[in-house]
Amino acid sequence: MEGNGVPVVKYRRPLLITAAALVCLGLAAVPGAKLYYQSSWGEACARCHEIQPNFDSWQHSSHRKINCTQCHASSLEASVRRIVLHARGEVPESFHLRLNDVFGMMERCKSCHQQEFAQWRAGPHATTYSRIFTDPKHNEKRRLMDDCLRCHGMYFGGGVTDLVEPVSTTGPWKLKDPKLAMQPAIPCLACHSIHRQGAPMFASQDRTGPKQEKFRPSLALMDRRSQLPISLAILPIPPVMEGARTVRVSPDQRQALCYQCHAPLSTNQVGTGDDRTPIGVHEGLSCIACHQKHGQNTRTSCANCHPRLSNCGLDAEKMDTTFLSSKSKHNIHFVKCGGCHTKGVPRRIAKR
Amino acid sequence: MSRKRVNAVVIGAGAAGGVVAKELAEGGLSVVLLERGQWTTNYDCRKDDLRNQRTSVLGHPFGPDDERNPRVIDDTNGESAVVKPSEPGYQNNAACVGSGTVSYGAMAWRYMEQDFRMRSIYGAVPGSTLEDWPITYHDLEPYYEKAEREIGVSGEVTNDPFKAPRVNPLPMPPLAGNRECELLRAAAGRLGWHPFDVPMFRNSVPRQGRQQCMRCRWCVGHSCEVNAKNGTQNTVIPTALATGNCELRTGCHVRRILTDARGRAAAVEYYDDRDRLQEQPADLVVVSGAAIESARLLMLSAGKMYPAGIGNRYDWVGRNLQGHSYPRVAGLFKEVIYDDLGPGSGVAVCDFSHGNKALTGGAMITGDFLRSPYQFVEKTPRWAPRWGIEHKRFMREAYRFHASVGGPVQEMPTWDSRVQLDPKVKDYWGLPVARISGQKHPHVVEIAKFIVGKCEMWLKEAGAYKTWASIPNLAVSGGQHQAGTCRMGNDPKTSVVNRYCQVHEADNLFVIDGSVHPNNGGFNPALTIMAVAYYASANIVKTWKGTGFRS
Amino acid sequence: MRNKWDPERRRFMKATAVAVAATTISCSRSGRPWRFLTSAEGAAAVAVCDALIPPDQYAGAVAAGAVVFIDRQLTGHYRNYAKLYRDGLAALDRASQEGYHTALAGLRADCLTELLKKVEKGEARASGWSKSQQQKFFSTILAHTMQSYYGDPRHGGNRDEVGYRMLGIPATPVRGRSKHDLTLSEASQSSAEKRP
Repeated sequence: MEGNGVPVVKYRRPLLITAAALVCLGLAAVPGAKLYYQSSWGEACARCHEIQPNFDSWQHSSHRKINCTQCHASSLEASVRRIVLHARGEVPESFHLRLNDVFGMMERCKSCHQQEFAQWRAGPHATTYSRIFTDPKHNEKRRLMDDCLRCHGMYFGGGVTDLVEPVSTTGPWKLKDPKLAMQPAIPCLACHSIHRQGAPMFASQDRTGPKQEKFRPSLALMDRRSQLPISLAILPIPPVMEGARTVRVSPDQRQALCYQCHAPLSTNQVGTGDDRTPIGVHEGLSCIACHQKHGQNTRTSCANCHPRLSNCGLDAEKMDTTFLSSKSKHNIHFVKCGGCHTKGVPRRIAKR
Repeated sequence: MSRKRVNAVVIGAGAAGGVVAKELAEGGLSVVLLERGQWTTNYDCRKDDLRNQRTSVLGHPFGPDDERNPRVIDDTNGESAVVKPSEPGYQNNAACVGSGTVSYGAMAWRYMEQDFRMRSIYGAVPGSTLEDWPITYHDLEPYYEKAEREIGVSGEVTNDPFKAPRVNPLPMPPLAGNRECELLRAAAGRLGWHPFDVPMFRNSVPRQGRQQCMRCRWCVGHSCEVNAKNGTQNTVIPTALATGNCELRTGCHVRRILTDARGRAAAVEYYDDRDRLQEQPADLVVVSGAAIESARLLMLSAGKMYPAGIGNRYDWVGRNLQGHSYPRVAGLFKEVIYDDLGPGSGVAVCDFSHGNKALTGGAMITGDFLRSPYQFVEKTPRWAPRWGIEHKRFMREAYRFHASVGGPVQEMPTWDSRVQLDPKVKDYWGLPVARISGQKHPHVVEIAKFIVGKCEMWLKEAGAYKTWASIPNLAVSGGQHQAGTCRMGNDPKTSVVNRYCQVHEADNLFVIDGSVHPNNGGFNPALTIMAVAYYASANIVKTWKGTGFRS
Repeated sequence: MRNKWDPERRRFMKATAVAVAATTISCSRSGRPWRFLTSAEGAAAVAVCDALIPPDQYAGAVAAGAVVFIDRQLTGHYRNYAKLYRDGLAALDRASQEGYHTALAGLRADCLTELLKKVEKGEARASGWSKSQQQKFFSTILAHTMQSYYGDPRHGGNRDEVGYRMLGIPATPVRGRSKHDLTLSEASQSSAEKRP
């Protein structure tokens, strides 16, 4: 071809045009992909990947008007590398929300669910990475372990040695990434799986009576091990025991979520580990009977059942329990009649 | 690139290497600990029942890397295959800081007195290279105790009348038994056997700032999220690093040991974590790479002085490869056995470890660790439906209703069960890979059949209405229990190292790991590997103080 | 002078860019639902997996995500099985055509079970599908289906832990930690350490 010269000239123009087109295409790919991500509503994604079930439940949820990129921001960032990988079909084994997106979403949740957010913000579950992981009072006594991340920082991508240094009982401890310090260790997404929000209430639970409130389908535990939210419908409530006796536990399935972290040790004995299953006078109550869902506070809970103008004339809030003072011997979860009636419980009360 | 000279290089941060590094560092030697793997966390493992060191159908989290470390395996039909680390037959031991002790089931057995004197007690076994250890149980007893204390062992062995004499009790009480364990304990008692609580490298109570076992169902094959499983990675290696005398270098793949004109070890040549060739001069070198890789490294270090590899003048390096064969019996019960309380394997009997008629040795028998649903599917009996509706029904009727017992049979070491360098296949760094060939001694299968009979008896007594057995075949065993390839002995013509784990031909080169076991006992070898490491290190430190290794 | 970035022009540019990117991204995968399997292979795999673990009161293999699992692994850890699946599913379809005159995906359940029983023994008749190939294919897809159903949900199978729930074991074992234990005093926690 190069010998006679003519074809070179002949093909130069189309070649140039093709090359220019390719360059333009390359240049346009990144901003194009960005625009595409921002303007699309995930149909194309769902067609290609096995995210169809997630896509469907999101489409039927009350969050369907929120675009993919608004939550999956950094996962859907367009870059040359990502486009090349995508075009070559090199897809990761599974897709997850990234840590930054989890924090970013908090703001988004707040913009609509203001009251719930404020309650959470004021409660103990709004704790931060630095409070959980760099607390000398804790760390001097027990070595941090990867399992801490099961309940605090379940979205963190690494072990505890990747988060804190040093992992020892001597300290001083600091977070390897100082940006995490004030971030929430138990974010909204720890208990809520928003793709499912608004889907029909789960109804096949045999634990719940026909007139009782069933739980919201959005409730799901973010399981750090599998990196999947486990639906509340299949989360277990352990069989709590007091000695050899099985404790009567409220049939409220919603508290299964609480039990995933506030659970007894392997012996299932009441009060072991982080378990606070009520026994004694409060046996059978659900966690949520007293603890507010987002803020966990119990401020007016006594009055729900023990109004001040009751027949007995006693004010339950003023009784010597941990509700009144955390120093009381009578833990509100475990207090029994005999706890106060030390000389024997009057027969009228004992019969109850 | 040559690095600053140190007193000792320890190759391999596993069960033995971690102990040696800590002992030498505390003894005042400057130590470099080389590990080909990395520090791992639970984030690498996350209790995945398809991807762990025990069930590795989707790979394994703690290495070695599947793409870089092939081996060649000759099967019993004489066919050879190139095998990846996570594939069956590779005889894998994890490559990470702590190695197998990160993900083991964590049984912490002392061998019995008889295990050290097999040849004297039972006589020669035709076709086997069975030999006594040059040291006895009593030489190791103080070091067994030190290992139990420093690594941390729970259990209760006072009820075992067959155990070797011990001075002190175990440092922690046993975990309470799960339902399977208590069922088996009662049945063994009715049979007149002597059940007791298996010693385990596992915290049953909070200890050293780490909490007790949470009794999850994923233990063997996984790392521990609550750090209650004790390995070298969370005990002696951090202690070694805290002395300031020990430097741990991860991602370092040793190429060979360099020797000087007199045949003594002079330096270790390795590829660092960025694949740059480094040279680390040292006064003494300790090889702790586990039986297969330690033997391979000695052979890779062949030179003018050592044409067939260091310590291999009489062709003993790589011979007598042995692990353990596990005869197992599972049984179905009318009642629910499964109670979701890990780790399982809480009770054992040593009634059949020795003194069995016409048999050389025997096995400790114990309940199995909890089996994941997929592990159970893989081991369903031949008569069970493999698929279809019937399979689902069988799984529902069997999984929670089964118990399983078995134990590690004494191996009869053989000359032909061996590790060699493969002439063709190379690893990522261009080094010849290990080729594993030969087969087990047939007597192992005879013992296994005897043990199976006892297992069936145990399960039937416990109430099983149907049992099925798996009997090991003649394929070479190795795996996590790999041992024997650099035998310890007094005669340089029939062994590789002396009673202090010192290579006969090079006084500043040591092999300290399972390789030195002349035979591997009828128990999981981890505690013995550690005890030998403490014992050998004590000698190094003592000799060092007399400046015995300075060239 | 006309604004360089008037809205109309911007909209046009945006549309062009979207079109370009969409083509780049999605054309390479031609819109099929699987990563590795073709639509036809996917349909065949669905039929086979549901015959291996059929639905009863608990979900069958397909509803539990078996084909998602297999498809995902065929581009990952099971890359080396890609050819086995491609050839095997095609041969199985041939066997169905030759034996029952219908495509595998449309085969009646009892006929499919009959066919698979033959393949398990290596006795199915399909041109160019040897006995050992049949057995290898069957044992492989059986093992992978079992892994998907009883293995960890993170790999795409065992959806909603159906495999665990069917066996009656909890999806996630609930375990508390001793930090807030009210039944243990600090003294009793450390006493065990003091044993000699």
